[in-house]
Amino acid sequence: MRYSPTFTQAVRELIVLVGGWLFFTAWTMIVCGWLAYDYDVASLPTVMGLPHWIVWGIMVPWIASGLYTIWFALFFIKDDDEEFAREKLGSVADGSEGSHE
Amino acid sequence: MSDSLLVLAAVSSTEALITFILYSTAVLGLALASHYVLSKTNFMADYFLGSRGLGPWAFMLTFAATSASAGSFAGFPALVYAHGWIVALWIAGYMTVPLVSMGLLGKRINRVARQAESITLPDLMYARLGNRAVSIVATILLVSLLSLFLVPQFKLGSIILLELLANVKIWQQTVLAFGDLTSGIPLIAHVDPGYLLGLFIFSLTVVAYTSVGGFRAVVWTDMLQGIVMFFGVIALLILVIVQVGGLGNATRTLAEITPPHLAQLELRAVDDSAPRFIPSETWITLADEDEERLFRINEAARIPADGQPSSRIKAVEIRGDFEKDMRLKQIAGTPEVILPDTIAVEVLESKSYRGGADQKGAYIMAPGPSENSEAGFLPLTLAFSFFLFWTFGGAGQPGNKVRLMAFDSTKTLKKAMALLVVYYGGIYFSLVVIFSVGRILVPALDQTPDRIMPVLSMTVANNAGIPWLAGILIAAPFAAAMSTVDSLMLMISSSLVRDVYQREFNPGVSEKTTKTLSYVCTAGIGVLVMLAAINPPRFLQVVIILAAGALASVFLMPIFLALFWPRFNAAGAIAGMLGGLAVCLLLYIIGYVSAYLGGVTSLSAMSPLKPLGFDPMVWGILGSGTIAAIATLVTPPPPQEIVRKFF
Repeated sequence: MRYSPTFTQAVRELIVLVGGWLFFTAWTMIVCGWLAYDYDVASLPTVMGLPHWIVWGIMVPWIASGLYTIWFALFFIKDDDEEFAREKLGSVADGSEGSHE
Repeated sequence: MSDSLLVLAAVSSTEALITFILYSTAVLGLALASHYVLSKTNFMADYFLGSRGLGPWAFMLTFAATSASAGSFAGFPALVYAHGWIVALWIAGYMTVPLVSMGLLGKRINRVARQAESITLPDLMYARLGNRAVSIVATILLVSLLSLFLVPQFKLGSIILLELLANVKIWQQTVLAFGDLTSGIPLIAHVDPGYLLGLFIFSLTVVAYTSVGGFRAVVWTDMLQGIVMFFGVIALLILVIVQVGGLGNATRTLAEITPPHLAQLELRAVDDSAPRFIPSETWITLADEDEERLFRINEAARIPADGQPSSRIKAVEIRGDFEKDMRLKQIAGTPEVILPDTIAVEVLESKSYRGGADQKGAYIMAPGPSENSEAGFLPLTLAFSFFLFWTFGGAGQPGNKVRLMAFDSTKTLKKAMALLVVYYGGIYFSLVVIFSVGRILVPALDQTPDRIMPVLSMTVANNAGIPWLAGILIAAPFAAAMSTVDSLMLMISSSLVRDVYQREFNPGVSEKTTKTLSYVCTAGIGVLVMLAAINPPRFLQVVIILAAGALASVFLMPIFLALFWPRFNAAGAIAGMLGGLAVCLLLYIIGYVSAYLGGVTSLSAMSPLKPLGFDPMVWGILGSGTIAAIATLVTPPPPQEIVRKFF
């Protein structure tokens, strides 16, 4: 069966979302695993006054993930409400609108 | 940082009381305004879903405020204070929460709900899967798990109120009078009258505005609460950073501090004159051979007159020369915060941490100090588990899904996602900074870390000479408790009215009856939960975590599959919900029973089974998805007309 364009678009959005999530999860775990668990307190490496692992392993990926989310939300998610409304009207016209109490 | 001790004694809470009264008045005003709007719209859709008209700001703020429970402003700061910077990694999963919790289901769930005209989750599942059994199972699980989750929230609301008003004279007098009133009532005579009065006020406020105003009132108050939380946290962040002398200075100081010992003391009057009262947070210095020991008590002590010792008092012993010297300098010249020589002290116990004991830098590196575990607070596998927990646990909560059903267009979803990035980043990362470096301003509160939010707020606001700000800062956790409770109450009543009464018993019910039932149901649930919270179960924290984990285990995968897998059917949904619950509960039961059989009797020392270090919720979601998929594939596909309609 052929699925509606708005549904296939939603699946595309889902794939890009999961890809982004995997990337930021990997970044945080790898960088923190590498820097935070073996932090050299004697030399106290810091960036902007914070321990360096906080900046590279948490703060920077948090900001990058925020920017990615904003890009995803504002530019990747398709605003297809009108298309969806037309699909819905079409399905009613076809008589495929199921009834539910 | 100044050399004078920044937190000395209890501070006045008059400002906090004024803030609280203003805040409650605003909340009730919003409820009345909402009730007025309600009288001019379709009752059912508006009372439970705000007529699906949420704009981006309202949608984002109600989503964020519902997610932030009282735990976010009481338990989370305590965790940061106790374990330091590592909690940033523990909470790091929140960086992807706006992406996943709104993006994963948002557009699809909103459209399917509109198309099916659903106003509750069971309603949505019924429409998509075309089966009444799915709706009944979903309703039973939703109502029972949400009710379980509500009881501790009411208790937390009362506790926050107690902390807020503890030093206000009018409050203390009212509690005394209330105690006289309740002391003759058999079932509640033994309950602390302060707790009881706090519970009564909290319940009355939240039940009144939720019952009267419905979803719209909840959203409007969530907006107010979300704004209070955000600006409260940002103000606290600025004050704390300034008062510790900048982040660089704070990191250098924390690098020198070692985890304290947790002690139990007994105090006795040497002169045996009169009963004595020693306030919490009093400092004690003891000369022990060639070393001076420094303690701070974490609870008030009452010393009897007849030379008898006090009961055991929880205290914290500062360890490490660096911090000891720093604190001794700070309390020098302030004899009112030091225990007088006329009181003798016996150290009954002084216990070191099992992870990170006497280790410099424990608060600024992984895995963080831990009282109970030699592996430290957060080994890397556990960090990964929590990353998954926050991301998918949030997406799985029914309260969030109902909000996703209520926004007005895709444009709103897009803007709200972008706004939520700023909101969550601003709140959660700031809380980590505030309470990690907060240890420098408020030392040795390790036996009662839950008090750190109000104590630190009052400390920094008073130091800055703006004590009224403390009222706003402390209103934040109260706001968080209310915003969680109101949404959950409404979800339960909507399920009972729509999914049980209307669908199963009386499909042709009139709007007038629906209206009366909705008001009565919402208020009735509030009253019942309040009664249950008078004597809440002792294992409160376990109940919160179990209920939250079970809700995500039950609902995330069946809803996700219903929205994205055309082949998904009713059998798969029922199997997925029950399977997710079974996996999650089983891991709790195995963990607790094994601990009990191994001789552990304290609930706080028990934990659920965590295969490969992953939380039961993660296994519950995986189990739910797997079982749902198998059950779907071995049973007939759903009717074609349903697939055509939604896909």
